[in-house]
Amino acid sequence: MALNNTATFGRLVGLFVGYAKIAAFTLGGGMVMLPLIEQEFVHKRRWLDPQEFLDIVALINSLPGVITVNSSLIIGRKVAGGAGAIFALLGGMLPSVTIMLLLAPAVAAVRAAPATQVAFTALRAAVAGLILRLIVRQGRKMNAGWKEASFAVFALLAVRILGLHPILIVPFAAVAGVLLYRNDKTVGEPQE
Amino acid sequence: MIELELFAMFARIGAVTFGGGYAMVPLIERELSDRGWLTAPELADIVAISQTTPGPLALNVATYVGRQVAGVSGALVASFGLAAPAVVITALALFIVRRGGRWRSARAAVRGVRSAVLGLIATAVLFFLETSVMLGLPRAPVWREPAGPYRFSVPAALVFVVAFVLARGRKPGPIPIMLGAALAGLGAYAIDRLVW
Repeated sequence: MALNNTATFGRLVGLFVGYAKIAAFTLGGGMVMLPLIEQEFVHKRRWLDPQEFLDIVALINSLPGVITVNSSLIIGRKVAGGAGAIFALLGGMLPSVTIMLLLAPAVAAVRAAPATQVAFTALRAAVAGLILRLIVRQGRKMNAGWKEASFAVFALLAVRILGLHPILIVPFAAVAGVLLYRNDKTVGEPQE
Repeated sequence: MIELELFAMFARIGAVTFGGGYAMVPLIERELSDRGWLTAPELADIVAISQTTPGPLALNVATYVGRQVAGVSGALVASFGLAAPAVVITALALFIVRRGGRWRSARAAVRGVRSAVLGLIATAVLFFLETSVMLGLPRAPVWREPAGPYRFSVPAALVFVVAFVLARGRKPGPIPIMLGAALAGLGAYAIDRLVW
């Protein structure tokens, strides 16, 4: 990387602050953050070109793990090498770790009251509805048909009826995916 | 050492989950219930709260669980454990992409995994239902764990359906829906106390 020390330092600080800022003010996780990250690092600071960013998004979509963590590591690395990856990662983690640490004692105390127990029960029921909606939406976005649906049903039954460890689903599904879609031309570019 | 166990546990979760925070819920539940570190309702509440606070869901959960199990050091260890596999995975992925690897089998594998992940996310729906609407569902594996005393809550089922329907459009969005549900719960409690 042909940058002098000051420029590199500026980029490291920019990555840390940029990621911390975006992580502190977005609700809903990694996918919601991506447009803001694009705004910050592609349009405002011009450290990445738009095509490069699209390739990064496609790559992130096919990796396991936490989306925010993956995007900070990849974008940090592209912008300022290995140190950039670490600075972006720490920036992205800082707000949520801090907020959760401050919130944890309060949560434990609040959960103990009978009135809030009822409120939390209602909250859990609502979250179940939200997640179900997410599944429907995600399935539509993937153009899921009977093949995809049977993957999902098998995974659900294996975990809930057979008690298979959820981790084991991933390698099984990967192998089954290769067997089933290997010659399928429509499985082209990653979704989104 | 408990910190080491926390690190390894969240590293495992971070290494294999596709599809974001919800797909991690069944894994986290399994790992926690195996160790007796957190009850199912407590985990459910933390996941719910994590959605109203900024930052990635999984990271919020890791921080909370780490703190409850082993204090502030536990929180840090759990969070970094979750992030650790990504350091290796992203470096490897960038390496493969740079070598021009646009592998058809890799894409086929990813499609399989993503479809199965929808099923894993569906177990998260069940997880939330069985801590609110339907108590005492049989646990997996079903032949080993008998069902508890079964209880179906009609008001909670109503909240579930209303949330699902309201989440259809962009408005009102998840946070107003969750706040509304919590307020409805408080209201129901207040009415219950006043009337009886």
